[in-house]
Amino acid sequence: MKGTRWLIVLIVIVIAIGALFVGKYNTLVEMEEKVNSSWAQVENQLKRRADLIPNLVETVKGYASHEEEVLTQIAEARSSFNKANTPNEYAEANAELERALTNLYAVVENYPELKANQNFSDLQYELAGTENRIATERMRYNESVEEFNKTIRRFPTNIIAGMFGFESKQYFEIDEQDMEVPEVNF
Amino acid sequence: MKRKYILLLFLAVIFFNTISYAADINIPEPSFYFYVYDEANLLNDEAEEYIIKTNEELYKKTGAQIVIASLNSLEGEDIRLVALKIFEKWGIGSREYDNGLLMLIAPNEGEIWVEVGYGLEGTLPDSKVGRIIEDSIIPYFKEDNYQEGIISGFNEIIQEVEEEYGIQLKRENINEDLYNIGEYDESIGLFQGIRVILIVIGIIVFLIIDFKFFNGFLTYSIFLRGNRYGGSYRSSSSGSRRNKGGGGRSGGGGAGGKW
Repeated sequence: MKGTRWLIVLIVIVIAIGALFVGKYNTLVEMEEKVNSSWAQVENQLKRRADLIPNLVETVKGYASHEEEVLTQIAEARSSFNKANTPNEYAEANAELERALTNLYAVVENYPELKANQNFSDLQYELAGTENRIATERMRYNESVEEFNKTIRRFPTNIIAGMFGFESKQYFEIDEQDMEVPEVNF
Repeated sequence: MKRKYILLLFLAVIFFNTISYAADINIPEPSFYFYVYDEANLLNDEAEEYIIKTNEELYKKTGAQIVIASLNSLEGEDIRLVALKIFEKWGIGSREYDNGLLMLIAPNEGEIWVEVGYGLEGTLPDSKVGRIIEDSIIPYFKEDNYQEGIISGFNEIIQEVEEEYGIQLKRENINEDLYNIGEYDESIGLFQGIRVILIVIGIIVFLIIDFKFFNGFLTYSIFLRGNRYGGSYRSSSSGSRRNKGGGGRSGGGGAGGKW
């Protein structure tokens, strides 16, 4: 009598652990989906800004056409942005673009007429808003990546993650190794 | 001895199932009437009433919510981040359309940020919001005339929102249920089923352990407590018209200014 009761308890516990594993697997799927959708949002906002830039360049050219250096820098940053594929590459291209834009804003200070231009001030608001959107979506993306990466490394989910091949995700940030190590060609 | 191990295993299962994440930075709770949170005391009763009444009608008709908040201090945080966190926590605008807007003012820092929900970004692009701030709000703020600046900006924003929904408003019977604080439509699937199974199993295991080790003491005490407090729900006083956020989201869109 006593033996059967404990057998039942044991079976119940085994079922509970089995159910827990299925639940954890589903959680991992959901979390991975969340990482993907947050990444899509980051990409959307990055594209949105890239789309604003030709317009900005045109407007600036109307007033400061001889500031070629800054304008070329922006064009280059934009083309390397178009080539980016992974979150790290996007983050680097993004940083480059941000530097170029900062330089542009510095130059603009010398052209009061340009600053007074309605079209230009609209563009500046749009760019500032888009930059804030990028910051927001990047923060959300990184949070979802952090949560996901933590979960797949934590016991007991790491077992499930290993079984089903869940891999940790890249943060949207500049890889410092990439920045520091110079390219050497022999 | 064996029993203790089983109990430990049981506890471990519960433990792994309930690990939670750390809390966020300090964000105030929304006010009772929701639409005005005036920590820095920039508005008089009449102005607050106007904003609340206008919003109640707007919410009924469109699900949109335009919230005004002022803070005494940003505590060194970026105003845009604070606005985003408030927006996230309060859930401004309806969940279906994310058509909320938050005007956050920090008079002591001399900063304003208007955070626009995803659903209103088309109606109120950053440049338009920027111009409203520049032309209709900041000039008043510069003269310490906060109330007039807020109301003037609020009216400009309301006007844009009215125009946006102008055609829709003619459809008299917009389903109000759409904008209620409903339950999240979580996908009911295998996962949900497993939750239920887990809970049932948990209860069974609990009962077995309780009756085995404590002669059912825990179960009895739960039932006794349940009886004592059951059925004595505080009757909600009629006439209270507390407002709540609809669960809308934003993504950092909007504009700001300093004075």
